[in-house]
Amino acid sequence: MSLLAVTSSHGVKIWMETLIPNVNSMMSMRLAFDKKYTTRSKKPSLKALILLTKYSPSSLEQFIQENERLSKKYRIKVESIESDLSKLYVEKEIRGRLVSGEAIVHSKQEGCLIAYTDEKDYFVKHVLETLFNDLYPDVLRVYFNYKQIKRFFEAVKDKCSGSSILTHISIGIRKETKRSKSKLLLWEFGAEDELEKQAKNYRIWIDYLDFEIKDKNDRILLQGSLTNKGLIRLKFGEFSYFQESLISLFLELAFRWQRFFSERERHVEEGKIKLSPYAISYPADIDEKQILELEKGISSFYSYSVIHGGNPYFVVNLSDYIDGSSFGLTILDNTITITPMLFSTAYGLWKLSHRIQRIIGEGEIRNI
Amino acid sequence: MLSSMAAMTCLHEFQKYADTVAVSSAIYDLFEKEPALGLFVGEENKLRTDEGNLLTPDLTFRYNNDLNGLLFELKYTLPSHIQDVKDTLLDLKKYLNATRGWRTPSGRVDSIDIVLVCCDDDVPIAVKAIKELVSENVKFFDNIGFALWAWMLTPVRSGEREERMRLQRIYGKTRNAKLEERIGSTGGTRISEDVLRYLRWLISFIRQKPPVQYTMHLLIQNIFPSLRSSFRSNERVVDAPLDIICQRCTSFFPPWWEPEVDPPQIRRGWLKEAMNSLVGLKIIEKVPDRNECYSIPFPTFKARKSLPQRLCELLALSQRKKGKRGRPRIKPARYPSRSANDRLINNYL
Repeated sequence: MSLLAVTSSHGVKIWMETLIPNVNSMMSMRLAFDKKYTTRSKKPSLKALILLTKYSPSSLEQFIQENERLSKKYRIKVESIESDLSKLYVEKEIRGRLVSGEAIVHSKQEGCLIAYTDEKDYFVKHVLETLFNDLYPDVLRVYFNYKQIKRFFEAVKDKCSGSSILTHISIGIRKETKRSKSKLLLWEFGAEDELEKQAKNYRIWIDYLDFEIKDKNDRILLQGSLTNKGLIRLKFGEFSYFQESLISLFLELAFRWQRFFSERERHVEEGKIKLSPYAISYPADIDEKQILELEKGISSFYSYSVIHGGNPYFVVNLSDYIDGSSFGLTILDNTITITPMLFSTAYGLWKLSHRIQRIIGEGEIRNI
Repeated sequence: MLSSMAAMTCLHEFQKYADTVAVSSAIYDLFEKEPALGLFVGEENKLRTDEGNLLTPDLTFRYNNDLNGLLFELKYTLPSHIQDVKDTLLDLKKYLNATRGWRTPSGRVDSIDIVLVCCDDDVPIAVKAIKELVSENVKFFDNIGFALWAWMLTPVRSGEREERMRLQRIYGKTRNAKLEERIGSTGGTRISEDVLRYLRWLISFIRQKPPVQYTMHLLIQNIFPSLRSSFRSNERVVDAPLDIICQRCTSFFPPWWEPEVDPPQIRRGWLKEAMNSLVGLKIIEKVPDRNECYSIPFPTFKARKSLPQRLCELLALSQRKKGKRGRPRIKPARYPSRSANDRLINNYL
């Protein structure tokens, strides 16, 4: 493993390659990553991608083989290391160039997979993330908005009995009156207050948040970042601690929201139809322009039947092309109401809520 | 763009039916939230005449300590000819004979009120027909116990967001004083937000036959996706018998429909018509050698446009094609055959 780290002319230690080929057990993975991420050096961060699925890592190969489109796009190989640990090799051609890399898939907890990799960001963004996006509805990425992430950090703070600070937040921002989107970075302390202010005047989307977790003695335990799609990066800190505290808490949150979106299909109970709608609320009324944007935005993912357009009262019946879930969606004042129909899955509902929030802006998801 | 007037009418009919279904839920919700107005008779609504004939109005309620009955008949559209509207109105009189099946100790009520609910587009012709019937001495429409209500979507002006969907009394009165107080106020009664937000998805049909495009949309959006066993597999086509489709649709029909005699057959007819129209538009196919079995592709219909809009365009186009095919042909000239007395033109030159 020493070959993988070199010292530059400026005396800075640079990690050249991924440690994954050397991982042959959970123990070796912990040791390798602990060593790599507790030394201050220039290196790609460790990425943990949280995925929800009822399938095992070995099924991923089969999913790709069965799907004509995906089998042309990706070449994957899954090799079992331990009972709940597998090595995933992915290859994808991007603009005539083969991009490949590896990840370790941890499947100890039922209902989810965690893909760890210390490959470069390019591989993660253009190969690994797209692979799992394409595996929907068998595999679902988790989607969180700022309010949900904030609650997560509060839980982290309680667990480490120290402090968790959001060091900077990257958000997508759009003025109500303008169509253009822009990015904004909120720096250092007070970023959260600033975000609250921005949310009142603009429609915002969280892209990622950088964080620092400190113990009681103000010693940095973890330094990393978190995206709204369940990708957690570890830049500095013990891998074991990262896995045991941050990842496990994140999974708890993911399962909680999965339960929220589950079992909402319309059904007959004692001769009566039961509906289980939920709502996404906003601080301000949703205007006609936003409704039009939503209609345009959903048209490529859903078969949709507009019953009422115009008017700020919007009614549409949607059916997910891939997942097959169908929903009734209405917009009235500042609330979007989603009513699952005859067939709808938790994954389908979660994905729909995420897509709506990417178009309209982040809102508060609540039961009705 | 909608290709023709026919397509626009088709889309309008679709919306009217969908809204009438919402109004049905709204009336149910009104009584559910205010039990003082009356009690919903619900799924036991098997009303019968003394002769034993079955009557199934859209909504049935009891009020005034179960002494009175109140029936609602919803029409998403009324015929365009006045005589047909009059016939529709006269048909309502049959409910006065609904003497049994009210779920009261005696099974009967002392009097029955009937309310016809239609869209505001149909109000002028409905009122005209009622007035003509009154002038023809049909007492039923002149007395208390019959009312015409209309539902309307009020346009939203800038700065005003309160008015949306309302139910208004247009003609006549019921004996239900509390209900009359609610509906009789200026501008009628506002349909509750719960109905507009989610209760409108409670059911998808009223008793009146829906326009075929409405049933087609419901099948594509809500029924076909549920037929696939797995969304992961390469299952691109599913063969589904009509019986399975009817079974899946059950929960979209009002629960108070009787699970016996006519209604299931009627529903089956609506669904079969819609399935055959989808076959006609080449969206699905019939399975050869299997009776009433259809081959459904996935995704069934992929379009960037709203599904009803696209369906209406296709239906309008298919209607046009049925009427005339291609360019009008010019009839070839026919020349009578030359008789022995006829001479060639050259003979005159």
